[in-house]
Amino acid sequence: MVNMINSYIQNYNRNPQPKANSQDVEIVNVKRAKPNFDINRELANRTFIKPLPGRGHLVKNRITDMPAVLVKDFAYDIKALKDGYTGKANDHQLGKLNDMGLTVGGLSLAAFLATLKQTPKTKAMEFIGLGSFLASMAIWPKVAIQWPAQLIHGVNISQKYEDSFGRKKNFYQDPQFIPWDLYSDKEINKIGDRLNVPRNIENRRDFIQEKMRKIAVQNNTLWMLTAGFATPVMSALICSVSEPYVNKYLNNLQMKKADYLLNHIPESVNKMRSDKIINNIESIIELNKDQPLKDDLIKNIARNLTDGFDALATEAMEADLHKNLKIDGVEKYTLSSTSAQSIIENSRKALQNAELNQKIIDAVVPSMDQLTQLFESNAYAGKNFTKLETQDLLDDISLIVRRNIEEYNNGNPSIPIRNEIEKPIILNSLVGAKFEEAPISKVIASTPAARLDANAQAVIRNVAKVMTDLKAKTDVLDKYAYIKYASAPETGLANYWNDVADSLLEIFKFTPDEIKNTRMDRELMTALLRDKMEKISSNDEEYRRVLKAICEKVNSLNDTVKATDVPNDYIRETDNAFDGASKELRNIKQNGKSFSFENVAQHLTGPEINRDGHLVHSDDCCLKLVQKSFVSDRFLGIKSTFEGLINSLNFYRKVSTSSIESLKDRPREIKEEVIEFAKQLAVDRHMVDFETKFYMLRNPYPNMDDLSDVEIKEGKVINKYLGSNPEIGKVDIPSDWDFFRLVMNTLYKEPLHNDTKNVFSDTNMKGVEEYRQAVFKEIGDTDYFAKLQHFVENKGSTATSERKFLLLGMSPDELFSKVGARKFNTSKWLKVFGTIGGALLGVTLLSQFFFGRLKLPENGQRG
Amino acid sequence: MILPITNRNSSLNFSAKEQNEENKLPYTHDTVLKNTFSNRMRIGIDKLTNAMTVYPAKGLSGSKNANFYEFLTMGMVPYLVGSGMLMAIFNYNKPFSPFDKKAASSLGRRLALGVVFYAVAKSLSKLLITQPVKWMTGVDTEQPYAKVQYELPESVNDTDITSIEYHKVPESTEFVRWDLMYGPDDNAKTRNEPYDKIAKKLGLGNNLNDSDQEAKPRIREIIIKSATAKNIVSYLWAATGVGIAMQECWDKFFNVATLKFWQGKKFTKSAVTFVKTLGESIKDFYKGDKNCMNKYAGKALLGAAVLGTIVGVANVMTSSNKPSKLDSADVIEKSRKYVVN
Repeated sequence: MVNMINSYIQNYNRNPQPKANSQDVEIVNVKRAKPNFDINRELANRTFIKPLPGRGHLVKNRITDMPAVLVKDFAYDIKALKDGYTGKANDHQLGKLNDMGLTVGGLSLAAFLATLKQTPKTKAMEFIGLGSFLASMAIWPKVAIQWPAQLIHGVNISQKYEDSFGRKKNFYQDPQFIPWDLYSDKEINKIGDRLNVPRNIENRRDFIQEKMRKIAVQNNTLWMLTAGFATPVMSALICSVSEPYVNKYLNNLQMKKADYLLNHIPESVNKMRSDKIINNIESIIELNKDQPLKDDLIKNIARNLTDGFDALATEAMEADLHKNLKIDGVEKYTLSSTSAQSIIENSRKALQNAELNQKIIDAVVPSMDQLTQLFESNAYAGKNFTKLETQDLLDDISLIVRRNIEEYNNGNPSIPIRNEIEKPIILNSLVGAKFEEAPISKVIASTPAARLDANAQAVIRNVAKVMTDLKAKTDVLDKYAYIKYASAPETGLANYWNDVADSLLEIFKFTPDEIKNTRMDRELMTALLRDKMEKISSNDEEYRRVLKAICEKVNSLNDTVKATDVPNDYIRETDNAFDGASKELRNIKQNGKSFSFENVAQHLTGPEINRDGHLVHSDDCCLKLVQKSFVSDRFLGIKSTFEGLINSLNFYRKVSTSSIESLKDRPREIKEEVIEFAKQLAVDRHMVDFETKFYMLRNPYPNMDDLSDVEIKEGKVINKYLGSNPEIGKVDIPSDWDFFRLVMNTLYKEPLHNDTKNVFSDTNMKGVEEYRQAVFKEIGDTDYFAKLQHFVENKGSTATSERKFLLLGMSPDELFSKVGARKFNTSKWLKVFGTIGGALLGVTLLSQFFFGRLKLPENGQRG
Repeated sequence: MILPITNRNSSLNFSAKEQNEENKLPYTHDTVLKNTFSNRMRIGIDKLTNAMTVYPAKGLSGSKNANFYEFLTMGMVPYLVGSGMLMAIFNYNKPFSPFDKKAASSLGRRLALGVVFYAVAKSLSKLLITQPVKWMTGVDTEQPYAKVQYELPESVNDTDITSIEYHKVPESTEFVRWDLMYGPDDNAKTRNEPYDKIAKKLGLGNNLNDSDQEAKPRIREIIIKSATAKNIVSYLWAATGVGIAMQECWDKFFNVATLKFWQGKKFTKSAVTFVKTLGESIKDFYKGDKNCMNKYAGKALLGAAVLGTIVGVANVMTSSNKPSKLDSADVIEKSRKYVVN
């Protein structure tokens, strides 16, 4: 080839315009290239003789180029995958595929782990975890290495370049092959100035390059040594920091989703509608068309009609089906083709159980002919009969048996069926007391006259439609209630709870040490919290600050769940759904007749009563109320907790300012006892039941003469009597109902402190007074709350256990204990790994100052 | 100045040792190594030791001999340290209250196991590609060789200027070390023997005149395709490994697990439980929870990994690179005159 080229060049140069026929190689149509290698064209162009100019260049992207760069890089990756698959990829492309594999594998792992998680946040955090890990891998070398190196030395150690083939690579990737020609003299000299390289040394460019190389190699090594520590720590810290934001974002998203459900109720119901009930009923109809409506069948239909509702609804439906599907409203029976055979079999079995001789059994049991003749007689053929009328049939069958006995006795005079012994046994065995259980009557009971005929089918279909609609509506209501008010993590109220609870530690100014010391034992928290409340309540400014902050936080309920109580929309839609279904069920129309499913209707909405001339639903327990109470109970539990805390603070304030009126005229010793007990109760409330009911620090024989006021110092009572007699420990005085009433009065009836009222008015806080009244009456008047007959107003409360539980909410010490433990875990974790991360960053940054040191050339330093 | 160049450790000494007892470097020229488990282990340990000691020292001092191989080898350090760090982060629960600690440690241990399974599955899964390819084509895409690297002396006293690097013959698809794939140089037959074998396995024919030239394009294609499959599929297997480690049944294993191998009975029990739990966890991973998406997730992830492996191997076995069928007329036009010097 070389020879050919040389020969051509020589000829070409010697003879610039040669004649065509004098050439060794003809140049024919050089504009259109021949397939494969067209030497004529190449020679004519003469382009390949000289190397093509390099197209490599340093990559200098601005932030505005990012989208374009991302698209370009993505296209490159896709091409790399294609080339890899077809076996044409180069090393650079295969390297890119490794990054792609890492991302694909990471995404599939995150997706898998997300399926293990239940809530949107935990699912999202899996992806955030992956993202933060990949981001940390990219951010650490930039923040800790590249940028500091650039700031200190002026050298970008992560400089990228694109080679002539468009492959993007790190400039210092291989220190043995650095494409220095991509940097101009001007650029290198500028970096040299920044590196303080004297201007007048020999081979300045080489010296600068060596310095740059050294800095890059050192930093790349530092990167490799630190990345292993830094990436996981950074990733964990990023996740930790981003969690509250994710929480807030997802909460808003969830609340909007829930509101959409109720605001677009027809669409939501349509989306939720499942034809399960209708389809199941259709299959039952298909299988049992025109079959007798036996108990089992009715039970099955009832169960399917109330699919997704409670067991009581099924019972009610069963009763209604029995009532509505009877002929003329009365239970009637008929005879089927298998009735005779069943009667014979049952009778034989019954007599065998009575241990009678087989010969006797064969003789006395009615034969098929006898029964067929009887059933086809005018009295029974093709007729339906009531339970009473069935008795005639049973008597007739009994008559046959008696006749058979007589015949047997005539045929066997030596061993007859004795009137005193065998005969009564036979007759009693066949008849029995219960209609549904006796051997013969149960056959008739199993063939009711009512059948699953066209009429019955239509009624059932209508009911199925009503129940399907109701189920779809309740599903929407359930979903809405769940998203907003469930106790599960990441639902609206739960987020609100966490938000308020977390902020309490700051409001009460808990120090990290206090949290650390009390985290393992709730009783330690009780003492600490009491101490804090005493201090806060004895300081006017502090009390107002704390109470105001709590009230404002509690009032944020509207921001978090967009409601402060059971929303009217929810109440309206619940009423619509249940009342509508109930109304329809009371009046199912078929063939001009009306069927009332009263039991089911009552179970849904309660019985109808006449109130002021209007027919309304009573307040009896029904599914509609259950649907509403789910939400109201959740509100009650959460609000009670925070209102209880506010009430406790108010009580401490009243003690601190000596303004408890309920104890005014009481002996000092009683005052001290009540205040001590109430203070403790205000903090640990229902920690253990027996503490409230039994032994207390009291004197059974108090000093009734000293009516002076208690002495208060910085919120604490300086007791004169309480605990002064070490021989008296905790005692139980069951007959002293006054003490319990005093405690309840002091805590829940005593008017609020003026400061409290002012803060309430400033922050528009509502509900605490109602809470106090509810606890006072509903818990204070509970039978055997403190002691038998210890009522605050001598009236028994009808509050259920659940209501009492919700009214009490969580006690302040338990609340602070739980929040404290959580806060401790998070902050301890952050502290440890934050310190590791910080220390690593420090060491990495400091290292920069030792990098890039190079001796100036000894000879001829100055040029 | 001209420095003495040697590939031996020729430090002079005046001890009573025999003169021939010079510590020879294991290799004097680039040498293909057998791809055995023991060799792989030895290479791995050698690389890891260097990555932790020599290479960081060279890198931090900015040595003029620091190169890309050393940088890449040092990539093992963040991998290992990062894994340890992740395990530590997942399991840092010492100051927590007992209840919190129990809940955190259950998840933490499984996540730590996930880190181990990630690495194990990622590295073992590559065998699922390389082994079938080796059996079916005769091309060992992981064939190691020791490269003798000549370095610049760091100082005038530095006479030891060689270092050994462990590479793979087909490491670079653009610069495959074809020379290391030839047989003994004795004669043409033995020289091409390895290529003959590959050509035969690839169905290119027997007794080819130039089996190397015929086989090389196909070998390159095999290397690229299997590298593509490895790069994608190994991460799917790694994800599967983590998925298996995340199964709740591992909690039972951690209750009896011990690494104290000197407590024979306990350790054996622990090992047996590990195997049993592994089986159970794979089953649980595959089945998933009945009531949610997880029911399909395990199957999908495992399915993707298996499918990716099958497609990857199948793709390696199908070739678009058929032997050249070009007519000589396309290259040399008979109607023309050509000058031959």
